[in-house]
Amino acid sequence: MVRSYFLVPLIVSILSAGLHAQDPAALLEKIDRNLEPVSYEMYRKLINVEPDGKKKEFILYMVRKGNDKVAGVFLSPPTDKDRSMLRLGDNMWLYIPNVGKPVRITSLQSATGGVFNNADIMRIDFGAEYNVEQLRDSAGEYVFELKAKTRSVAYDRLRLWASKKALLPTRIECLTEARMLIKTLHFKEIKDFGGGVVRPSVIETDSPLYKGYKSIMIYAEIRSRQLGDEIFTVNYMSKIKELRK
Amino acid sequence: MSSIVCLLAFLLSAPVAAAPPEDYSFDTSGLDKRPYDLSASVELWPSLLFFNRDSDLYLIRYGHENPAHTGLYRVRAEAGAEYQYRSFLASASGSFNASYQSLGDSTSSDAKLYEGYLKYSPRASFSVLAGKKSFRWGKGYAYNPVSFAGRPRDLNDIDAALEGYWNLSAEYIRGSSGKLSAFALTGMVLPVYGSLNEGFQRDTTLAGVAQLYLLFFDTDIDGYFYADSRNDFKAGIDFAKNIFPSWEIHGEWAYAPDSRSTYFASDSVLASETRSANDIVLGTRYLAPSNTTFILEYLHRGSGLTSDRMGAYYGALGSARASDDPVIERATLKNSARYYSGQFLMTDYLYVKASHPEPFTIVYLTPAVYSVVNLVDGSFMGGFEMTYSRMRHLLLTARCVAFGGSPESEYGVKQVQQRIELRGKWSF
Repeated sequence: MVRSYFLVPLIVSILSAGLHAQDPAALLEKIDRNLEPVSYEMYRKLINVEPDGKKKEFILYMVRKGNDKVAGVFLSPPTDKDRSMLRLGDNMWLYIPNVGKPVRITSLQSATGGVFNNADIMRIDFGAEYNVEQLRDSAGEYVFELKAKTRSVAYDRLRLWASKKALLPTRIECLTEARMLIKTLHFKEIKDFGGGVVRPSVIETDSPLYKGYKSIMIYAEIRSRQLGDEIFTVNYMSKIKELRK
Repeated sequence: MSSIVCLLAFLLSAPVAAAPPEDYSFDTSGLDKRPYDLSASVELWPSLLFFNRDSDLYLIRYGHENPAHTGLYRVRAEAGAEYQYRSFLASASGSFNASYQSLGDSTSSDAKLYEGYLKYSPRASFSVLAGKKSFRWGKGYAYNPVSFAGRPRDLNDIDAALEGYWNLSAEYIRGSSGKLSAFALTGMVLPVYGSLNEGFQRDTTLAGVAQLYLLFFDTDIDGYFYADSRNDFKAGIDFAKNIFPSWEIHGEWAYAPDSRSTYFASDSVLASETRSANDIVLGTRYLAPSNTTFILEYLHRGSGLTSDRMGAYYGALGSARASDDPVIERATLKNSARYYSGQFLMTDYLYVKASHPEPFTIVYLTPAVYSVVNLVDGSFMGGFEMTYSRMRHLLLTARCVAFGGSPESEYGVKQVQQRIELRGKWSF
């Protein structure tokens, strides 16, 4: 009995020392890299599912370079075809072909409607937008408490669960400053995309603000691709579709 | 007993079994890029127009029949085609419009080539283009005085495609990761000769237009320059910046040393004046925590008509109506349509718009209200619209627009006082 008084703190301190031996920021960076190459192209299908099961699908072609440049163009549905979005750091624009000029949008708006907002679609690395406030160990998973570096991000706080083995997220809760839950992202269906990219191919999202609704993002053909900086400019937004091979 | 347990187990598991597993398939084989791309849409657009029976414009046109309203039924078919071969892209788009008005049992139709060009892009940063292309510049939502190479938008049909002008243009883009994160230069020449680019300028000329774009310290900044073979010159600048993620500010300024306006000098005499003019837009867009977006813009048109000159116009309309002479009436209506049918005739306006997507969690529904107020004469145009984009191919819009003001004011003189319209656009 007396021995256990010494043994338990000893085990806890060994475990916590092991945990803190890992640099939380470096761990988060590994998770970011496991999710996406630094520079890539990919296809995404977004599905908004209504409470009665009805669905609306969007298909995007997306490119990204570095930690602050993301662009995408809608390939379907026909009502949204050729609309494009651009993110440069905290700046976001939407280009609608008939309107003919890019207009500034915010990360909290939604180009597709439903649970996903623009920040979810045009996401950059977690490490670029958030600091690790706390890292916990929970049943074989890391739990990151992330705090936004600036007020320009969509969610003030994220609680990210990541598998220790694969170093990939399994669930993320998006929270307000007051820790009110805005939405939950569930990472599913780990898939080998080739080129060393093995990651969840599905992100399912639900929100207490949209009771009964959910949105699903399915990834396909993630390929590393070298892209010029000029592609990530408002002048290029009408031409993003020309990048497809 | 065991059979009861099995039955209970079956009944409890039934709802779970009934829920189909989520389909996570994503077949990208149909997404292979083809050298050609086709798109088309058909839009049906019935509307009901209620006349302003105090308006002189109405009294001249319909005074003898005295109708209260009319139905206007429009259909617009748009089609676009692109063909890409290596660094070359050929693109064409156009529309066919037809309408039927129940009053007078009249029909009309026209066809427009919006764009038709050949573009050569040897690399992502550089392209040259020859043909008809629409350029839309400026940061304002309601009015873009810096749009030196484009046509003005219709506030009540703000997403409509616009016809371009024939031009030869080149574009150079450069991006980087510094404080100056984007730089782009677009230059073009536009000839105006006979029916080529008719309406772009009033005389035959060769115009050169340039746009310089910078993204500097997270601020969009554009400079615009116009010069033509008649020694006409214009310059402009605009900017847009997010002060906070939910708060954007923007502005435009255009200066024309020789801005020309035509107006009624007396009842039947038109006069023209050339003077320097500054056109200004100052605006902001705010996304409230409630997810409502507000847009507020102040518009100043230095080239706009003064109260005295608008007074002469109202006087000319009144005289034409009183004359009861069909020749004078027709001539006055023709000049009114030519010189007084624009959207911002006078000098100072306020534009406000509020839109709220997905009210009461009705996904894909966006209601909006908007208004333009003429700050000089107090007249206004106000609209309420709802768009619904639930369907894959169909976009539905319902809109009600009203014009208010005294009979001798910009919006009060319009012959239509209210308009209710429904639009269904089927894209494929």
